[in-house]
Amino acid sequence: MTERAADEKTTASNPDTTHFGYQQVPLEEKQKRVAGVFDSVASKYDLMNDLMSMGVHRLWKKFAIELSGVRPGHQVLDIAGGTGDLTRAFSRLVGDTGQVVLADINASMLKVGRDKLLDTGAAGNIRFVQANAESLPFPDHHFDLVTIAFGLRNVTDKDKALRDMTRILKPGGRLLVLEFSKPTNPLMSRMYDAYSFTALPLMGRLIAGDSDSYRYLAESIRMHPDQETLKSMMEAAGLHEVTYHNMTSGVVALHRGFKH
Amino acid sequence: MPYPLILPAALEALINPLLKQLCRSPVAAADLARLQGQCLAIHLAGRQWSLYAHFDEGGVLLSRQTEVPVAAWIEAPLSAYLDWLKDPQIQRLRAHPQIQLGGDTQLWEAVQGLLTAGEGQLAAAIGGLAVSHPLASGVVSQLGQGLSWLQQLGRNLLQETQEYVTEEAAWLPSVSAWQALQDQQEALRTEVDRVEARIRRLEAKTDLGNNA
Repeated sequence: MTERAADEKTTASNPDTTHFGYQQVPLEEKQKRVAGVFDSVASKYDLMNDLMSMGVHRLWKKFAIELSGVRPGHQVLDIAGGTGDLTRAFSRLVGDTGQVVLADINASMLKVGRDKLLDTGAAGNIRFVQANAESLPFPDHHFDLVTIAFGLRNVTDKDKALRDMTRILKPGGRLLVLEFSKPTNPLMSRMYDAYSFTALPLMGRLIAGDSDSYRYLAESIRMHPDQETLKSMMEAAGLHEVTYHNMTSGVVALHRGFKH
Repeated sequence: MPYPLILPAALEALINPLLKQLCRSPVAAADLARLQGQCLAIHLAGRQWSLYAHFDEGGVLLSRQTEVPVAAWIEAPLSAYLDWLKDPQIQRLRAHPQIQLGGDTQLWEAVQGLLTAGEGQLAAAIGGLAVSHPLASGVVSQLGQGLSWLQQLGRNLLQETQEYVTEEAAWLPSVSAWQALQDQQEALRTEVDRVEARIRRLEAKTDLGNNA
């Protein structure tokens, strides 16, 4: 039995728990623990992203921007926007007539993102909101695009979050989910496992002074639904024409769905 | 086949710092302001390769596809682009037999302004990617074939590695074979213990017989 299947079975038998990496924790506990992780890594988040992905995360995000279809005047919500990489690009595309909302549940990450964006001169069409992806404080049919990049795996109730993201999309709007996924190549998968369970915690310890958070990162990636499962979840949330694009042999996948 | 995303990403990384530097001059800043909010499309003739340039106060955002309405477009072969980068005058664009322009062609004047600002630093930097080495322009023109070849090479290498690993793995005992071996070893140990115990008993009997 795979770890994911084992986890699903455990969760199914005990609906009051969920996974935090490879651990089973009470539902209300996960949010606090995830918050602890991001409070710890916020200040070194960008540096660690560059180091861990060897800069490739910039290309993954660039591809997401290409598929976003954002135009001047659009309303965009960047959930779990963290340090604001996508928000910055979207704010350039929507122009003065549009608006981008950078939302993150974690105050530390939001602060780092806000400071970074303001320091680079990005302002005017960007708003900052501390919000939980499971209960988004926005009206129905409000956004042309909702994105969540490297954030969904940290959400406790993913189905609920996907339903709420769908709710706030305008008809014709699209949801982009950029997230770590399951490598499609067995050789790549083994190399990736070796890398993420040895090099990542080591880098976390040496650079960010925190190996546990980066061990959680590796574990949470393994517990996240694979490409097809996430596609089904998005369809179940009410999205249509859901497709996904594997990047770096499936290490990361970009899912896109439309609201009709 | 779309070209790799790393090309527009690398171009952006090259162009934006230069633009920032050039825009200290009021003339270049005015040219960039004129392009702000506009999307310009650059198509490569003979291939379905397009590059979209979105301008704003932060510089330029390059992408391979967009849904933003295009304000102006240009289509030319690579050699014509390289010629233009050597001498980026708008007249050359309009008169060049291999170049087609569309949309608001006045915007290319602003592009020309940026390319020629600061003694043509930007044009030299972009052109330098292709023409700084005598062989480079040839290499760029063969980029499509080169990428296909590299992809094929990667696929072959992966396949060979997988075959090698599969073949080598066949020589290793499987988990069940290993467990069976351990079971047999355990049984053998038990048999040896039993034989040893029997020998000891027989020796004890022999000693008793001799003593009697």
